Parts: sequence; C-alpha cells; structure tokens
Amino acid sequence: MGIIVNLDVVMAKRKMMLKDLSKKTGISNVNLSILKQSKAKAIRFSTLEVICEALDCQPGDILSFEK
Amino acid sequence: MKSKFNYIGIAVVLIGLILVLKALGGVIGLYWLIPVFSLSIFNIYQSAISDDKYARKVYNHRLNFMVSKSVETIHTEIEPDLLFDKVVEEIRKSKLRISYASRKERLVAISTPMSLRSWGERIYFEVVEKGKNADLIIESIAPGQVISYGKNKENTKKLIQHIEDSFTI
Repeated sequence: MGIIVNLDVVMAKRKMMLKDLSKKTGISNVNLSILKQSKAKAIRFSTLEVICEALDCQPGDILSFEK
Repeated sequence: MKSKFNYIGIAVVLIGLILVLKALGGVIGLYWLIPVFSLSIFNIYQSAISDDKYARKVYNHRLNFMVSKSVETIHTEIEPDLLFDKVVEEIRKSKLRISYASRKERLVAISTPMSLRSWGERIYFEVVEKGKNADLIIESIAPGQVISYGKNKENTKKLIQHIEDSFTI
C-alpha cells in the first residue's frame, strides 16, 4: 500500500470543501484532487505546511503508512 | 521550440525536385518555380490551419511529407478528466498558447508562432482512457520541416519531464 494520504478524512472532520481548501492554501483544485487520491509523486514540505495550517492539523494526520 | 534546420530541410527537398525535373530532360525554363511555389503555398496553408480542429488530420496524413513529428506516451494512474485538467493547468502555467482544447475529445493543442527560423511547432496532448486510469500522448509536429534533427523529440522529452515534475505537489 505504501504512503496513504488521508486528506479527505481530515477535510471531512473540518467540514471543509476542496475549493475552500484551495482558496486558503493557494493550491489548485486539480493538485489537491491528485493529492487526495494519493496519485502525487511527491509532496513538498511547503505544501504540507500550508495544508496543515489551513486544516489546523499535524502532517501525521494527513499522511500514514500501510504495509 | 524552433529548429534552425527548417530551411535546410525545405531547400534539400526543393533542390531534389528541381534535379528530378532536370533529369526528365527538356527545357525547364521557369517551370522549376512550380514546385517551389506549390510547397511554399502548402507550408503557408499548413501554418494557417494550425488553430483548426482538423489540422492534425492534415499533418498526420500519410502523403504529407512536409512534416516531422515525434510521439511519446506517459502512463499514469490518474482519472482521464483529472489528467486533462492537470495538463491544461500546466500548459497555462507555462504560458504556452493553447490553440485548441476540447474536454469532450480530451485533446489540447498548443502552437508556437512562426518565425524566420521556424514554421512554428504544434504540440497535441491527448488523454486516452485506460480503464480507470489514463495515458497521455504527446505529439509534437513541425509542419514545413522535412527533418527536425531530433529537435521535436527533444521538445517532447522536455514536456514529459515538465509534466512528470508537476506531480510533485
């Protein structure tokens, strides 16, 4: 399985829509969708930082590892 | 995106045609102007239709020897519509001019302008559905250029690298 992106779970907990997160972070809807579906090749620390700030969470809430 | 060998390729073809006419014998007179004029008109036509939906068909026609092209495919695990949006977004970011885009056909065409050194280049991005995933076909076409001396392939590789890098978010 590898690295799983739990962005949708955190967003649902915060009751935040994708477009709202996009507005808050400045990351495009398309890139957030790719990230949400765990299809991104890599994630920058700067991206992680703005997402964590917008969702008021820790990087560990967004990313997890499954064998 | 320009090839400095553009005119060399055309000149080679024209000289070849003139030599064929000479070999056929007889007085050529100004008849040599016919192929020169015809090919020039055809190249202008190819450049003029670049924004047209059907230009790709003209460029890819098996009898059209006045184009050079390079085709590469990227395999992705992304849904077709999402990949299409991603491609459009990346093209807009890179400030290339989109000459044609259709979500229905999942096809985007960009073109570089004609200059003294080049007839301009057309690049087609086509998203092809593969089950739940999609492939991205990048086709770089240089109308009016018989040989691109690897320039097309080089440009396609650059685009592939740019798109692959864009998946680092």
